[in-house]
Amino acid sequence: MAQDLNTPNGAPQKLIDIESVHAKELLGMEESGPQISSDQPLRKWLYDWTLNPNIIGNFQKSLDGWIGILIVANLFALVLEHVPALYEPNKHLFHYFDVFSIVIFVMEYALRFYLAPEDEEFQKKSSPRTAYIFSPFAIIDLLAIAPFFLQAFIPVDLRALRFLRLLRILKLFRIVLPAVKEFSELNKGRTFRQKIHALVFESPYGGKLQGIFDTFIGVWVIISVLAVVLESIHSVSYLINVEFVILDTLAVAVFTVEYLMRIYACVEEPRYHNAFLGRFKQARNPATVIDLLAILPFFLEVLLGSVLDLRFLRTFRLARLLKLTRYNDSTKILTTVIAREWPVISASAFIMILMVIMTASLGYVFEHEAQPEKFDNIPNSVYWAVITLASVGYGDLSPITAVGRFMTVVMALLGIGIFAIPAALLASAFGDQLHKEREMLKKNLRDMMKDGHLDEQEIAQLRVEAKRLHITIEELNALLEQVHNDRLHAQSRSVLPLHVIAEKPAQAVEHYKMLLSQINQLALMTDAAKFEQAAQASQNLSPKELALWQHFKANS
Amino acid sequence: MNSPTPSTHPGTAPTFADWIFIVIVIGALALVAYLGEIAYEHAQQTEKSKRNGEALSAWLSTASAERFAPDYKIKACAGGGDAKNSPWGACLEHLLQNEFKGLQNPFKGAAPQFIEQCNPADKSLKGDIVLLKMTPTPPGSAIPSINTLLVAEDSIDQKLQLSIGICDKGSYLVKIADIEF
Repeated sequence: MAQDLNTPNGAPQKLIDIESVHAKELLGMEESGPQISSDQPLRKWLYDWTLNPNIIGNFQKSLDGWIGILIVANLFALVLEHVPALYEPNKHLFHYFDVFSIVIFVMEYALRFYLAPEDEEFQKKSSPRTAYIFSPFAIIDLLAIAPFFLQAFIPVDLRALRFLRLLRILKLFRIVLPAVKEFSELNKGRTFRQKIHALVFESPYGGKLQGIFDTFIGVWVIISVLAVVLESIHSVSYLINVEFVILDTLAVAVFTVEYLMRIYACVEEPRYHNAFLGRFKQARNPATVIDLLAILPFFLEVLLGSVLDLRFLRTFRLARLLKLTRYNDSTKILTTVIAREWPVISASAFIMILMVIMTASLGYVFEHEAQPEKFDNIPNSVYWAVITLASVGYGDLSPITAVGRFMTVVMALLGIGIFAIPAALLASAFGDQLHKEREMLKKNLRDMMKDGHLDEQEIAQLRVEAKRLHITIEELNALLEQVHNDRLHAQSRSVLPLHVIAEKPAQAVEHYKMLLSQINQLALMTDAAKFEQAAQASQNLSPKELALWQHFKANS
Repeated sequence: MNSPTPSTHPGTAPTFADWIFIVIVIGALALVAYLGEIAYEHAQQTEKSKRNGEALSAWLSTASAERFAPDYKIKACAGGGDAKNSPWGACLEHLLQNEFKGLQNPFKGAAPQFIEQCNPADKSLKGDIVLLKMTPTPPGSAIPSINTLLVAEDSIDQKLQLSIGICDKGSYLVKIADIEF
């Protein structure tokens, strides 16, 4: 059951009563789907399903998302068309993709045109469809498809046509502009730095724009990592080497600005509050170090490339993939686990090193004479020792003496156990940590639900945490039931004020029964003569109250 | 979840610190653009070197089919028959004075050198052309051919298997093609 309350900003906030809510609803997995009546006129029904932004669970967001992906794909196709080596042999594929995109964009335009009278923005106009045609977004939509039809009737220069097709990118404004508007609203009266903070760090002020920013960075990470991987394929890098350079420069520009924004705005975080120390702490943060590693190879290679051979740094561009760990808490859990288990891990590492050195030394002692070229010294035998103890066994080095082979059997058997310790330790500690965090979430949930309600912020937090910690519907239902029972127990202990108890007759009856029981208990335990003497002496009880007491006493 | 500090600043207009940040961002972008321009120039020079290698490769491949004909016009590059013991040096000299006159190493602005291998430690090799003669090894050998520099004294009267590449801006080899000449 939901009810509306006003937030401090004046916006209504939905509260959910935990006694009537199901776990699926809390996790946003309702099976019922959007509330769209099939009895309404076709146009309204279609609008509700496809374009109505106010109906949760319809196709509006999916539609926007897929159109956004198609626009980005169009942009890439446009860029790749400029590479003759790619375009010429695949000309027909590019054409088919263009036709496919146009068909989708035309269908979208037609749909919006047809449904304009249902749109809140246009329905009050005298001619909603005409109003739609002249709206900025519709003009952009038309510009995105017009060049395709233009070339069929008018001979247009191919370069001009490609430039016009670039206008398709403007369609993204349909997604970005509302987010910008929401961001402006949320950050009204806030400083420039606070706005930067809201954009790059997770906060209640970020809104959808922060999500778009994260997606933008994520897309660039994937593109630049793909570029690094493709660059290693000779046939690909041979054809589009210059394009890779341009792409890398653009990626570095994006990541550099993001890095500077994070360093500048981090002081808005309570833990990085100090202007210098705070930023220094932020710069030392593993995620920020990864950000720096993502851009540093570019600067170093271009600046020092003529003096030093720094091509190996290109491989470090793959570190950009680690930027995505910012959006995934699993690495955070792993880091916590390693930090927690560090004493045990370091102890097992010490034993492993000891085993390796001992095995290498014994290998050298027993095999040196028989194979002086392979086991020529202890450091060279270390390679054999590690390969043997780790059960890899390439076979390029192997003992040939009887003693050497016996020693290898013993050490290899020991190695299986010793080398497995860190893996087993980490696996067990990882599971343990997850369990702890789940318990912590459950405790937090209990605290959140103590008041009997969950607000939107609490629900959002719950959904994020439940997803991260893989809380199932059954677990959440059990938890809800447990909280419900806890609340009943608390109520039965009568910790609630009387006016709250009086609101619910069932509770009032329970309370009345409890009070009667307490009076009975008092009558049994108290010395009747002394009680009456005290009551009459101090005149604490009226005659009516004393008569009632005597009635209880007689019946107890 | 991190919670930001509440707004404590009186105004929303950019402060001095904000302007410094904006200037730093613009400066960083300008630096990236400048370094990107340098990287682009280097990439273009490598592309021009590749075009040199491709042009040579294309000419040698085409000539391969014609140069054994009796009426082949470029005698210095002709093979078989009367051209016994004709050296590669004479053919190369002819090419550099005619078909490939003005061939330039874009990194140096001079004619490219023909070298045996690129060496990242030697930056003076960038833009040069690696022209190797591939001599097949006997069947069963670990490597299919032995590659050596095609020197001026090498005879071209027989068919030759050649490998062509160029050295890029880091003096790393960029292979162009393996051809028959």
